[in-house]
Amino acid sequence: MNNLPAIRQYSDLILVKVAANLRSETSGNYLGYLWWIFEPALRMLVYYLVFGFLLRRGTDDYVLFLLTGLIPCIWFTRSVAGSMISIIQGKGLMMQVHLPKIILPTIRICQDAVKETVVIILLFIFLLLYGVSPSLPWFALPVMFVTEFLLIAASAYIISAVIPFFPDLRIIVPVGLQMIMFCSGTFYSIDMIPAQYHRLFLMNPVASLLHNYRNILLYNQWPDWNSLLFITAGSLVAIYVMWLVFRRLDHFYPRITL
Amino acid sequence: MRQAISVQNAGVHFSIRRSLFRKDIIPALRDVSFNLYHGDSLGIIGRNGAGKTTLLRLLCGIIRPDSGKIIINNNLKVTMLSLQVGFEPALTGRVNAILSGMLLGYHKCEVIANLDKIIEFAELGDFIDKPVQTYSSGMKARLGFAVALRLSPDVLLIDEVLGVGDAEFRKKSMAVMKKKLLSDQTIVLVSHSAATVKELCNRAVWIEKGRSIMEGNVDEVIGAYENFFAKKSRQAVNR
Repeated sequence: MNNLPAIRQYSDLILVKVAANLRSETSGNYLGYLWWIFEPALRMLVYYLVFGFLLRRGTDDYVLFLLTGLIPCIWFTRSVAGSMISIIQGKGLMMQVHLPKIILPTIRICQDAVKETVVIILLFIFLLLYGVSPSLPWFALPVMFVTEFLLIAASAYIISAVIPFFPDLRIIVPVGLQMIMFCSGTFYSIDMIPAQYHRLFLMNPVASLLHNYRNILLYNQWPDWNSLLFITAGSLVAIYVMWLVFRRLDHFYPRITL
Repeated sequence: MRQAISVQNAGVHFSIRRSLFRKDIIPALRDVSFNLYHGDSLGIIGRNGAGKTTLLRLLCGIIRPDSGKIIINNNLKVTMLSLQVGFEPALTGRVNAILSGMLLGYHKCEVIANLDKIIEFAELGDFIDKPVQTYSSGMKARLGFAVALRLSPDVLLIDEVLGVGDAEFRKKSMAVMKKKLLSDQTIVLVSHSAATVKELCNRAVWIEKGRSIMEGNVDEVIGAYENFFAKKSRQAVNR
């Protein structure tokens, strides 16, 4: 295969474009990059106020429980929702130059991953302030991030590839994402659902990821490696299939997004 | 003369989906054939809606033909001289030049190596480090043009962009284009202006309603094109 230089060329392009997009996104407001910290911090504050202060739901730990689930879950839903229309938005570009179209959603998910890094650092600070002490299983976190990134990429590729053919799905996808958010135990723990549904519940990869995040961060347990392996392998297969699909449709997208 | 690109009976139609059960089929190109040789400067002339832009998109590989074929010799790099590819208005001219060059298929280092030349050619001076949204439309166009023109692909496709910037810059771009022609650069120029094609090209193809009607020496083709429309407008006046 002689497309190695092409791959390098395009990965350079993705890096430059991600940096440019991030810069351009922040240049529109006065506080610039500071919003990367303020926005998620404000969001966390809202949840703290409502659940930790107003509702006093259950134990004090509920805020921790909530944030350790909510933050990875929001990363997933936001990134997938954001890349959903990346192909349609890239219409102007693809009419001017020939690009492998898979680059368009990739740029978006990389952009989100960079921003998510800041949020995760914030989460760590919050956890430490709250008196959670790091333990050995925290070393599994990078694996968790990679797994989640792959899952996001796989979902984003599938959805962004389909949307140009069925633009109406743009309305359905956010509803579906909200459903995933509610079905993944963001707001409740797995113990609150009947035991016979646990297997079914954890078949949802997002639910399984959140479960593992909490086991690591809150209960000092190692993640369930089997489920991580399963998600990673599934995502990699999906990414490979979508890569082939995008390659087939490369010359077709400029026509339908006309 | 070595052949660079050969277009054989190419046809393209777009189908536009209106709703679940309705779609419109719009034929953009029906039957276009011509040959492009190395060092050629080929003018594609035709009225609005003749399919010129679709033809350029076909040539640089954005879309593929539905019928007929396009043969491009040993992976030549064919690039459309598109203005302001992927410009981000909030970023500086320098960043945008690099981004644009990379989108056109060049390596980051190649673009950076040519950056001084690009900036000089675009006549932007200190403005290069200001956000593109502060530029006048002429400045923007000049930067885009400079990026595309300074990085020479094997085959350069141009879509009537010579009306860029003020008179002086236009003259300068014309001069560069002419120099490129003499230096053996292969060019395809699309235009509805007979004068432009005559000035810059040595060969021409006339396209009418998605069909190539005539291919050959520029003077012959342009002569026939002008005659045809002169006759047509005479008829219209007489009626």
